Amino acid sequence: MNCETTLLLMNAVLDGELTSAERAELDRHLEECPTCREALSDLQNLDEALARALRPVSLEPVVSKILNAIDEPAMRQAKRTGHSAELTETIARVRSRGDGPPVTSRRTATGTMVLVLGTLAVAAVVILRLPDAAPAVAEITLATGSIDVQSSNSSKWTSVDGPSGVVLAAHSRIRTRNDSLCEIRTKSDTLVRLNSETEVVVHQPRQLELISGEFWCRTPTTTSVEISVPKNVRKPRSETTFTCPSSCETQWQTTADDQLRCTSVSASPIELKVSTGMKTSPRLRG
Amino acid sequence: MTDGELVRRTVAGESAAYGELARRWYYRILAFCQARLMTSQIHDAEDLVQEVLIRGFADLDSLSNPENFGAWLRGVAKHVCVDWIRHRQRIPRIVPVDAASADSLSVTQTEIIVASDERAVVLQEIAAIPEDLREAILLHYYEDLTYDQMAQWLGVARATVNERLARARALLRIRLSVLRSDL
Repeated sequence: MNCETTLLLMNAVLDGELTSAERAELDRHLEECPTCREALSDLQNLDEALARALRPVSLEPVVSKILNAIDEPAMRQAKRTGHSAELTETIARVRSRGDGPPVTSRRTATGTMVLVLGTLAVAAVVILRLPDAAPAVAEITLATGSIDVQSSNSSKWTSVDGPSGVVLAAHSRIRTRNDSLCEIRTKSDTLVRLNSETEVVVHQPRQLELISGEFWCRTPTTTSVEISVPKNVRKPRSETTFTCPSSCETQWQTTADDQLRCTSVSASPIELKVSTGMKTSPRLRG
Repeated sequence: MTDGELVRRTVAGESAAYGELARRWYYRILAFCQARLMTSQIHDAEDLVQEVLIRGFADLDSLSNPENFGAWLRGVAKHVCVDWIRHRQRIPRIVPVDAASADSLSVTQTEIIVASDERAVVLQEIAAIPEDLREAILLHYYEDLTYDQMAQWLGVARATVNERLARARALLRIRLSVLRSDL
């Protein structure tokens, strides 16, 4: 037996799947191989951690939710007619109810993730906050790979290796690289996801500027958000600000020939209010 | 009570029987959906499981063999996941960067993070490993199935289950170690 085949047996022994003959064979190898003994100890630690993290919880809340949904008159109608508007509506209602998913609520899950990322990045946290004048306006809640951050009072880019809990002051600039992505949540609860090679300025919780690249934005349920593009983007030809209504999802992109493209990802059409640079309000369809 | 009996009772109007089916299959469907969404945000997968079970109820009349409820529900889950992914493809997603591999790093000691938020960290790292390994590891820890039961559910050989769990743990061992060393 070699160390490679031992790896499968070590996993099987953790899972209680070894025969007595295989177990004896494994024990013989472990007696002779300190590397595999250490590896088995590591696997046991990992197994315990995974078991703790993925421990099943009571399903009663979610089962009640499902039973309530299927007992609704609309669902009975949906059942009679197959896939239908009633079914879609019922599912939408189940999703939108405030009682949350069974294991952890959405709000709690998000909060936990932010907390986790913040905790993990204790050594790397960069507070890009001006002393008094510029309060925090947003936080980088998730980053894959390295991203660059620049505060408004400096021309220096700070590299941050995600995931990280970076707090952003007003007018901070964020730049992803060709192999990194990141997610930002502003203080107004606007959610922004930057694609690779994208640069964005977070002026205020409700004011964003796309310098280049592509990002997706979901506005809060209660307020609108302004998104501007710089003058060097040829269409529109001047600095322009778009006001996105509340509860909408849009995708913004500057193309290789410096044009701006905006697509609504919302289920229904939305109206963008344009404050300068364009005479009409474009109507976007999802 | 078998799946077939529960299905027949459900069709006859006994909704509590469907509750039992939901309890019986919830975690297997959760592992399936969670593996395909490529997200550490478990609430997305949980929402989809609820949708799968509700759609399953609505479509129950199309189930020709009630004893085959689990495999049939897996098919419903596949459609629901595809719909969700198609919708989300229009949105730039946070895609995990799978920089670490079992071959590229040598780790002699795994230190597992034991913070109170360990669950979120583990879910985040699980979301970054390949889909087939992800489903195997989630299925194993959610349901504590035997290799034979997992093989039947996944439609693979028993040895493949062993191999997938071993590869998943090897990757997670490295990823969680790297995470720990960054602190």
